[in-house]
Amino acid sequence: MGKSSKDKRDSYYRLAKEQGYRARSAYKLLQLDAQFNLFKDVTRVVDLCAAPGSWSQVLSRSLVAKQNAKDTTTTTLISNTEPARSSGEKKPKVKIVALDLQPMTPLPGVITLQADITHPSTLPLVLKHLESDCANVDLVVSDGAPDVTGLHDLDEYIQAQLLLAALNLATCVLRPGGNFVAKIFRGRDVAELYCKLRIFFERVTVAKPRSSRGSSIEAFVVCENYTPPEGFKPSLENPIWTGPTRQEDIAGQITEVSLEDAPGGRWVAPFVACGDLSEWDSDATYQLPDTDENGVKRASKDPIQPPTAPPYKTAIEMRRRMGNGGKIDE
Amino acid sequence: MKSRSYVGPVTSLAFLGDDLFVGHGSDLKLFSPSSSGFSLRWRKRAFKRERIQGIQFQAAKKGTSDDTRILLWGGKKFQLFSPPGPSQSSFDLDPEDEIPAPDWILNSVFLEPEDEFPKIAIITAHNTILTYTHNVAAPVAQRFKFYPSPERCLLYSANIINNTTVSNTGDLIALAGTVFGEVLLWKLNTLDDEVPARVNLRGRYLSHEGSVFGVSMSPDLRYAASCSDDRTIRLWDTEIHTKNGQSEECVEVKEPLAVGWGHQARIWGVRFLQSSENEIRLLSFSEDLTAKTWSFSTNSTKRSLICTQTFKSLHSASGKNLWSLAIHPSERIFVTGGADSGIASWNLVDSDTDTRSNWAPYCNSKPKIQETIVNLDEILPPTNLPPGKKATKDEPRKYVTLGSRAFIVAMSSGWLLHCDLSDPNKQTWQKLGFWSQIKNTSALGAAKLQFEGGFIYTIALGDNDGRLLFLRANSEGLVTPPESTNEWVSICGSRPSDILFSQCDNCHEVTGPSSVYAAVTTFKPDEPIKLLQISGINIEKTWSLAPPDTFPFTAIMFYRTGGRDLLVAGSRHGAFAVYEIPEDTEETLLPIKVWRHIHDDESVTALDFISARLSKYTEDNAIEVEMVSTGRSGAYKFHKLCIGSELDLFDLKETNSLYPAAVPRVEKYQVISDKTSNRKYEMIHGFRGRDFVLWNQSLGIEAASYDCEGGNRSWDFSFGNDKTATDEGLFVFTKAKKCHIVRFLNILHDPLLQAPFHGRELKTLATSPKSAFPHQIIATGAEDTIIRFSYVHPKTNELVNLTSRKTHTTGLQDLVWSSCGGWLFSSGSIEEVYCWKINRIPSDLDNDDLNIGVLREAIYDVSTDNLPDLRVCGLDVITVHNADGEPLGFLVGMVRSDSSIKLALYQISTKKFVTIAEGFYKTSCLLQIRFHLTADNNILMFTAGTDGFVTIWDITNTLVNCGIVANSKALSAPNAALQNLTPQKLHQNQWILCHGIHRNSIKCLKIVEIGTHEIILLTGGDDTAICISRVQLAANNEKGSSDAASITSKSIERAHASAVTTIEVVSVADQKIDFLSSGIDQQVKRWSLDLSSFTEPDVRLLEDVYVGIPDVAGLAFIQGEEKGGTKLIVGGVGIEILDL
Repeated sequence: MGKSSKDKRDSYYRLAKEQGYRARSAYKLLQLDAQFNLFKDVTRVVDLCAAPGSWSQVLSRSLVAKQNAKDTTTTTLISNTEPARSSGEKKPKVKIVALDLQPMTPLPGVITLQADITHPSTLPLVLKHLESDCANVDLVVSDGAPDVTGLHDLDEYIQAQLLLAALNLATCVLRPGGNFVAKIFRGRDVAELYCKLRIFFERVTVAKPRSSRGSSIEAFVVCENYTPPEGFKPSLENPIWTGPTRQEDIAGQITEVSLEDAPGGRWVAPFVACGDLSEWDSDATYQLPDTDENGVKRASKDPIQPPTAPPYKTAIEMRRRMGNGGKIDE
Repeated sequence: MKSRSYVGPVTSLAFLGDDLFVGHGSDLKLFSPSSSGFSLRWRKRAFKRERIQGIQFQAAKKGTSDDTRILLWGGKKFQLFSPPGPSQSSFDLDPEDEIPAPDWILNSVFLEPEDEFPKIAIITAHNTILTYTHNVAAPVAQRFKFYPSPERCLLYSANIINNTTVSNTGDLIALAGTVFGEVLLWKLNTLDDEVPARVNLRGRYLSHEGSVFGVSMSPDLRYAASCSDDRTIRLWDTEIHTKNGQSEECVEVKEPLAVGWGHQARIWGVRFLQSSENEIRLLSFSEDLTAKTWSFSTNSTKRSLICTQTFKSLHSASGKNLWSLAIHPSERIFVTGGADSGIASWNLVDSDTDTRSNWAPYCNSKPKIQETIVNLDEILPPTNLPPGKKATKDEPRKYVTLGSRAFIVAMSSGWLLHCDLSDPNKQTWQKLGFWSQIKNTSALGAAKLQFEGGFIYTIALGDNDGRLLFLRANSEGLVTPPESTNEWVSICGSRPSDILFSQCDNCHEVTGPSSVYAAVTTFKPDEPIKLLQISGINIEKTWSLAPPDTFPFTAIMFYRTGGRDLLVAGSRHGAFAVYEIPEDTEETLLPIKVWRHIHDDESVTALDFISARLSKYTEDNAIEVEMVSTGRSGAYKFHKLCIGSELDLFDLKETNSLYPAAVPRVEKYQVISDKTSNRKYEMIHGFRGRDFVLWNQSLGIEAASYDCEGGNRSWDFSFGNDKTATDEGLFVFTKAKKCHIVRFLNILHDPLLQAPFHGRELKTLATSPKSAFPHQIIATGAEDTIIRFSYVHPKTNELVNLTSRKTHTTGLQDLVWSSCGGWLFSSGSIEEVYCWKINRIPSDLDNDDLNIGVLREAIYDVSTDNLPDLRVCGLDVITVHNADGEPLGFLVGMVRSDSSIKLALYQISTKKFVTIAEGFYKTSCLLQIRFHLTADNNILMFTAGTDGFVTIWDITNTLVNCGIVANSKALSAPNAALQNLTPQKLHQNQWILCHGIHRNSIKCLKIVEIGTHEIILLTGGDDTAICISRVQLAANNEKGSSDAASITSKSIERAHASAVTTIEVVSVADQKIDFLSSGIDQQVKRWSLDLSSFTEPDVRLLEDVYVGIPDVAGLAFIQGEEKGGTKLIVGGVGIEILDL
């Protein structure tokens, strides 16, 4: 499908190009913020599974740009190197750390790190870049999703593991009262996940932004007011709920999922649709005018950033080289 | 609610000796081979919720009383049990006994037990090994032993095996494929009591560019193979890492031994085949629906795996994914399991010598092709050249096949040859004669007759002067006396172009065994066609038929009943003509009726009866003939031809039509019986590109194909015709002036152990009204763009496939039956809306208590071409009657993703949609539409969409303007001629209510009328809620329209854990509504709604069951014969059938 017809099918794809976002998913975070006021008083943010970086762009524009408007501190491009010395010491400087296994094009005001969120060594790295020796992050966000295979139970499991890995890192860096937002697949066993999140946060809501397709299984959990259970010791060395663990290994961390309103470890988070009804409907097909408001013929724009290299890139190149209509055999 | 049967992805397969174990959803199935194929021995539920992802065995030790043990796993659960012996019926497999593992299981293996308890090792998705001792007396937690992981990363695949290269070391080798494209190898000793404090990685194999979905270790542990998202297979040398006594250091390997390229999509698994000294062989399976064998020569300097064979197209062509594969221990066959529920068997080697396996007879019955190219110059003596003339190259011109073991060929030189193939090792050629007047001929035709228990053929040969010679032959040669070869009869005034025989093996029942009918055509378009009745080699009667304009004959069918004789002819331009043939006449006969464009403008390639016994001669001297025709249009079509007693009363009704995509140029449709299995198959032959194709429509598979470089050449084909040879076919053709003989053997072979269903998830399902057919038909529409028609077998509860249509070009959105069951409306993306006619048709097939014909009768006109993805998300259909109460057409409502609504009238007589009204709701996507006729004869339309609002429109006047009115809960158009059919506008001022009841998309909407002016709306939303809304309609006011409504809603918040996608009402009685809901959480919930309290309706959850169907898209009921026999159909990724 050409980019022009995709514009009509997907209004957020078109908007993202017009407003300079790397991916349409930027609007999901914007709409979540509009509903939950996630960015209020936020100075330290960690963006997990960040590539290609549209959520970091939103964070950068909403937090850094705002601050820059107030004081004139210029932001330096920082990428996986020594964190830049902040010049203004009066106001808490906005720190955005973005992590991904994939390399990511730098963004103003965002520290991008190429690291594995499950690896114990990642935590000190993040803390170092936050210029902090304690957990004082206000917000942790994660828009990560796995390679979807089509085996629903496996896909949900892998997505849940990604979310729990993000949760483990979040418990290590969040300040009490901090918030956590992550992509979730609302499948068969989603109630079990909600229940686990409820143990750490006062409020857990499942939110579906208008920019997320109705036909998609994806939604976002918005977990507010981080309140770990008494005696809980966060650790990436000994993460909870990821992989086989003996009871004794996590004794003292967390024992059982026990919530009064969650019989059998299943509890369903309340649902919120976010984004105003006047905003674009991601399921709708729009008839775009041929010309813009100035009467200029509308041209379909190129995406800001081409898709990151797919794993089968070499396979396609191989096929091209071998000719035969792109097919290797037959 | 109890689960009765399941259709869905086949997630695991494993051979234990000759027995095949199948993990199909939560069910374990056992298939055993027999001489005729395979049979399902038993089926047993293994898990409460999980699908069986893996199967392992521990064979019974000889000389002990131990049983064979089976280990099953799926998700975080596993089961250990012993299967019943051949004489046992008891079974110790019970889903209640499933054992929870502490993590997701990727692979598992039996260990040597140290005591009386079976012991296993598990590798989990976090690269961790656990052992488990099956001591049921101990608490579950104590049966596990935990070992440290060398690197706790997330895996997509793993393989653990006992290191049997060294005896009894207790060493396990683990091979793991990570989500980041790494392959890891490590060892663990599970015999030591002491759990090591640390376990080291031995090997880290890098270079995959995407997640590793499959890993496998060679039996000798010298090699590992991996496959990935990056579409490659990689082979690794692991010898140094698996050997004991080597360094404990982890070795990082960045170069594989070899890489295999060739799969077109992600590769899910790879296995080692038996390797020789210098060659390593692999078998892989992929998302691209193929399996491939690979070879690597260890002597080679090239680091590449060569793809040696590709196995494809037994699974749904439009589907996605092979999920499982198992190789028989003999390595002669392997089986694959698909996302489409199908299980197919494939031959890995062709040798017939090994008969040790019970599968051997089955393997040997796989289709085979024998080809021979004959240079006929060597058979024909050069002496026949007239003296003094230069030899010209002789070539085969026309063929007739006499069954599958003989044929006759006319040569350009004037020779007629007979070739006998009954000896499989040679061809026996005979010269039947030489006639110079058939040089560069000619016309040749043949008809088959049953004769003294065998078959005999009448052959007609035409010469250049309009004369015909008749011969009789069988597979051994001529049966007519030699002197008959000179009895040429003058038939037509010029050179005949073709001799078309009527298919007499179907009509001898009525015409007697000895006579056949043939039409002789010439190259002159206006010259009358001669119709001949031939008995033996003598012409009994002759008629002259005047061809209609532009009607070159291409096929004929003669039919006699009740003293009336009919001839149906097909033309080069897709037309049919019918002649009534009088007893005797000198006059040239004119057709009594011509129908044009039956096969578009393309040649009719064959005409036949579906079955003579199914045709009728009614009391009032009328004739009904059920016929089948094929055409170059790419279709085969069934028609019912009715001829009244008066010649001006006739009707040709199309009852079925199918365009088999695998055979775009259809030459013939036949029903062939398989004598060994007693099954009948619909077989189609024709051409696809360069290939001659034999297509088994009943199984939905290609029986065989042969590259003949296209169909524009002289050729003939026939199936075998005696008891021993129905399972074979003969295809002869000319290429490069040579005669090519292709024999197809075992063409009725059924390679499917389990029939395929949709290749991707269902989006919609609808059951036909109860009494329309002997069984309620379930229409299912899926993301694979196919509509399937099936029914539930009343005894077995299995889904039985009737037919399918791949006509939509996009995934299906909605399906709605007409209330009479005769029509089905379907919608998809890019504005596709089709009207289908569903007919019950007679058939020659054996399962004939129900056969249906399906025709696409009409396409709704696309309004605009600049909205490429305009989805028609919802449909509703209501019948419109004429003044006599007969159905005249249907009011069809469509709601679409651009917020537009279209109302169209589908007229049965014209077979056309006419748009009568259109308009927009707002700008958000609409998903639901329902019509409702009120007690006051108002016509309401309910719409709902992604914004969570329900809108009620009063469309009474819109329809009145077209001449349609509501009367006692039915629509009628009293004046047959509908008025004012230019589209009207739907306006917001027709809204009588617009109310937000859900916070996001309304995924389902049901209307229940509970009082004269009172309606209950049941809606399910993406917001996980079910909403019960009571709508009060104002009584009729003076304007003749109900212009007011009030609504009160009660939400069952969090009714499901995720989106509620479907609601169906079970019963309505006494202010009580019993209904079902389901959604993405895979729970089906039964609710009882009590409306007796007006303000606060009381809802109670009666039942809550889990179904093994991800992405539930719809529920439907099949009404049982007796009370309580109702079945519930749940559709999504597959279908589950439950007792309600």
